[in-house]
Amino acid sequence: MFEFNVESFPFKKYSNKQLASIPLTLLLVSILILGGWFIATGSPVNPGIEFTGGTEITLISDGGTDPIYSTFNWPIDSIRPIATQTNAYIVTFQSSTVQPEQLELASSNAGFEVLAVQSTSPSFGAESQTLALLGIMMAFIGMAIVVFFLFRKLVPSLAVVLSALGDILIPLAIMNLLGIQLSLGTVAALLMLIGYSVDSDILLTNHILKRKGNFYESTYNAMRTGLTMTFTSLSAITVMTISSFLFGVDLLTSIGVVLIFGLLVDLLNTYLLNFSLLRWYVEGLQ
Amino acid sequence: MNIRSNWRILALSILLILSVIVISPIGSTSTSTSDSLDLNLSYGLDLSGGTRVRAPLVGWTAEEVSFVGYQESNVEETVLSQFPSLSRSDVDAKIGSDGIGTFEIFADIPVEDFKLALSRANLSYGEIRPGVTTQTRKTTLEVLNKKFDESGLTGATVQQSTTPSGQYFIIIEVPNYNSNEVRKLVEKRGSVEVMIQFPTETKEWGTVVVLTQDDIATVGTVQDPTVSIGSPHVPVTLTEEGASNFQMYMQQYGFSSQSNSNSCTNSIPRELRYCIHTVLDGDIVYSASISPGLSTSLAKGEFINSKNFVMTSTNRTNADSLRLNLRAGALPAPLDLDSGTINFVSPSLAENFKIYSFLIGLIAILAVAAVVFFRYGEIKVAFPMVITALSEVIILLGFSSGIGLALDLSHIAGFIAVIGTGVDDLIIIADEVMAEGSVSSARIFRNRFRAAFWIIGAAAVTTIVALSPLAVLSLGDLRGFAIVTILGVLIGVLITRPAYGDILKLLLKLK
Repeated sequence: MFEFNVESFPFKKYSNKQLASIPLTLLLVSILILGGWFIATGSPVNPGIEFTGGTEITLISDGGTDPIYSTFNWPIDSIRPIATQTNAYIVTFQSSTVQPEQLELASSNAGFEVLAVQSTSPSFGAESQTLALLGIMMAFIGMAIVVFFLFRKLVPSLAVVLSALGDILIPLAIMNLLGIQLSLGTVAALLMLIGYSVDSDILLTNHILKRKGNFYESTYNAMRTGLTMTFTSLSAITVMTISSFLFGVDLLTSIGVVLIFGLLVDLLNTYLLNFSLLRWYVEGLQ
Repeated sequence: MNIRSNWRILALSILLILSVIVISPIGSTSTSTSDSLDLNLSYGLDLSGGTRVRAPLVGWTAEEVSFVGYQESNVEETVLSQFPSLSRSDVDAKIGSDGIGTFEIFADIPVEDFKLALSRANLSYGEIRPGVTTQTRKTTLEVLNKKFDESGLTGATVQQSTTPSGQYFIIIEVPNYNSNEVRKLVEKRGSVEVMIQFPTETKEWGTVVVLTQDDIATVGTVQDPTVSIGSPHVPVTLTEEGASNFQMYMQQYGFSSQSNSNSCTNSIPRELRYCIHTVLDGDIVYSASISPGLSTSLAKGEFINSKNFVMTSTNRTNADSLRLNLRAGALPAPLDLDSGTINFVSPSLAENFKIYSFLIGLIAILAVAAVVFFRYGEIKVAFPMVITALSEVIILLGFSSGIGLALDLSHIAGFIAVIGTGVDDLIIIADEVMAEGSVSSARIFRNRFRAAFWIIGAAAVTTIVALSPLAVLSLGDLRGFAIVTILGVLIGVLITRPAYGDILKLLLKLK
């Protein structure tokens, strides 16, 4: 049995500004990255084929990747091998000029066995992108309303909402830097992050505001539970991500990667940003 | 054990047993034994293999068209005359009882051309919108269903969905068939016509459509070549009206004259031939002379009594598709396969996905178990925690099986999300209940449990509110994910997670 030695965390040594500055700087840098991305590419993120339109074809090529390059006359965006299946590759075409039937025809002529085809037209992709953005925004607004309703105090509620905002925007910026595309799977992951993020924030806020007793004691109690939660989720999701990557189950891999970043970022947002805002609020009450 | 104070544990046990019964192979009607995961669950395309096509229908609709004083067929002809490349089946005037109706054109033309054509036909109209009418979509669904029934691609489902921007999509799901097989069946409208070709004085030759699918009453089975008909053919009987029109046209253009039979051959100059063409989606797929027998029957005016006609094709495959199109009818509007999505997963890959996702779920649960055992060190706390988290998934699977939800990868992601939030909540309950030493009385336990429940309830409401837009928006995979997660959170917060609190109370021996 182990316990998180939360008492050793030097909350008392640092001021609210010092603590909050780390996650706030990260948030600011992320917003700058997303803004820069928007200026440079016209989109704050790297949208995948589900949003831009394009085709992803999973095939078996006995001769490795060379025949894949020589077979397709259309620009190939990426070729990824599937670890658990020999000679299986996921080939992505983000070009809107090529139709899936052309790719399938070329594949069968070249003797590739086609295992899967996923194709989205640019117009449908654009509509999905609008919907996904709408979905994330509605989710965020809905979450914010519930949080305000739960705590009915401006600063603690804002602290939770701000922390959740960071939990979404910072992983998005990390995705840009790592070249991870926004897909339906990663959108799902971002929404899951809203849930996970709010979990630990509500726990902390509830302990600090609604419990009798010492401020730091409440914090440490919440932190002990919160860290157990995050650590458990992290280990489950890390093994899920690694195994789904090996098995070539793309959807679960992309969800997993985003969740790992999100949960790590959530630690900063909860115990530095949300905590310092709460401490500032409680100090103001006294 | 007091039932009243432990009703949650009882409810959890009952739900768990029910779920296990529902998903166990015993309750399954499937007889396959090769499948290692032969549970009574239905799987979607990701996990069973098959093709999903999502496509809009091509066309424009003019609303509130005033047809007063016009006849349906005349109006259609007039508008059509503006578009030389289109045929009769590409336009449809639907006239209401008050003379007001809609005019649809099923082709990808500039909207300005459509407006111009309507104006030239002296038709006044209201709004012109992309897409087709409800009636056309309904007919399309019916025809598609018939096509799949006739073609033997069993298990196909056809439905329509709408996006928030008001665009309609036809969604076709066909288990076990690949995208080429599905595409072949739906990429063309499958309109079959019989067209005659005859010499004229003014032009090189004339053509007239003498039969369409509407004129055909019954369709026989494909016949192998015989002495008199040298290729595979489909016998049909015509409707009363179809037969009489056919006879009238054939007599009018000289096909009832014996001297013109057997004149559709290469030895005769093209402009002098009398031919009967089978036309599929605008292309002539077979041409034949009129047989002396039919010619005689037409000359005597006996054709309308028998109403039997034979449609001929080049080979068996084409004859099969001819029969299919005749029986299913033509799609009222073409599907725009390049403006939607196409998904195909081969059954072998899907089988892998199925096994892998179960494995991945299992690995995730094992990881959770390892961490909580390590963290709490007490089997009384950790073991029921893992069992409770597991039972949430089993109950959710039972529920999915009960409502016939076809599981896809997105649902698996939802299950994992449920395990994640579930374990988080159980940790909160455990920590709150056991906070600061032993729980000495049931009253303290109740208070602490109530405090824990406020937190998990608040988090659950937030998650549900955050995910509910996605459960409604038609955003493909995300919908399944959102629905499963919301259901899981509900089952968790209402039944399983409180039950864990009761289990803890029992195990920590509270009176």
